[in-house]
Amino acid sequence: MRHILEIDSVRLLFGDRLILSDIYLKIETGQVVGLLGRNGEGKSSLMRVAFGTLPAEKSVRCDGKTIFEAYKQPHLLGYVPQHNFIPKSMTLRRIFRERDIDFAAFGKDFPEVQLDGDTVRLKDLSGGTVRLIELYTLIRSACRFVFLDEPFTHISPVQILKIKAIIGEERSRKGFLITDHLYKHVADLSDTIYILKNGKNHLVSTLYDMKESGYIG
Amino acid sequence: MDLWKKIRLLFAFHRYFLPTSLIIDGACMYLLYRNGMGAYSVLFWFKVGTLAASAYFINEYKRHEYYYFFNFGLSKKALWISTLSFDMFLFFILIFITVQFL
Repeated sequence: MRHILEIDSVRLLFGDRLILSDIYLKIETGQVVGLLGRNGEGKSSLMRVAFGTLPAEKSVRCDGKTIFEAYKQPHLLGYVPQHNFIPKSMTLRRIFRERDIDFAAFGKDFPEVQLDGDTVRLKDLSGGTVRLIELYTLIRSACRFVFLDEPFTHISPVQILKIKAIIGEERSRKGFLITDHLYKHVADLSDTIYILKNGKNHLVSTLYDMKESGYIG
Repeated sequence: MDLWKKIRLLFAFHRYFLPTSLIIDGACMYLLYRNGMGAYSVLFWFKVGTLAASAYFINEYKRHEYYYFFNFGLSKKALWISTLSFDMFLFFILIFITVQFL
């Protein structure tokens, strides 16, 4: 069954400064939506507003039904923020078990990362491997929609390709919203790309549009 | 989410300040044992004060990790209410046990 997540009527102010207004985003399961924009344009804020953890005026709907705090429905929406977020004291086995994901499957997807899930804790790993595990567990989770905020930061080029392939596998049953400054990877994955500028989102379809918007030189 | 998983996640959050809390509880038990019930009100407010300080530091230094719990549908309010309630419950149980030896 196809599901649709819509976000609109967003109005976010930090003090007197208007960050977001006139936003309309529609994400369907089976679709990847890219969100690009310069630093400070409100990409992460928009994700957090939709996720329900940043208070703002908004309307978020799934299949036409209004949702006030999407994160309270963990099977609806998962969010990987741009910073590390899994407690460092957790063992890998536990991190995967809590998400009902097979740890052995991770070893098959990333044979270069051979770890003992029972003894290794997140604090024992490099920043790149931590990021990889955070991404993997949310992308493979049972959520209908997944928001990825700068997913490719700290990830090696070969692992970026694998993560893109895994998103390609998962997109048949999920919808993705991705933002990252590695815009070529985002463009590769996305069916639809929006650029966020001056608090509004603009649909772009070509590299020329991105140049016109001032996002790339 | 099943109840057992929820309890595991709440305990994972509680672990942020469980060691500090147990040290404070131990100190309160010792002081109550030495000074009798007259010290109870001071110890109670000492416990409340240290809990508030712990909560402040967790909010400051572990705020990014809230997103781990948000992704399981747990709000800040749910995390703090359950954690602080359990912590105070543990404090009262330990005080009750100490009073039996006065």
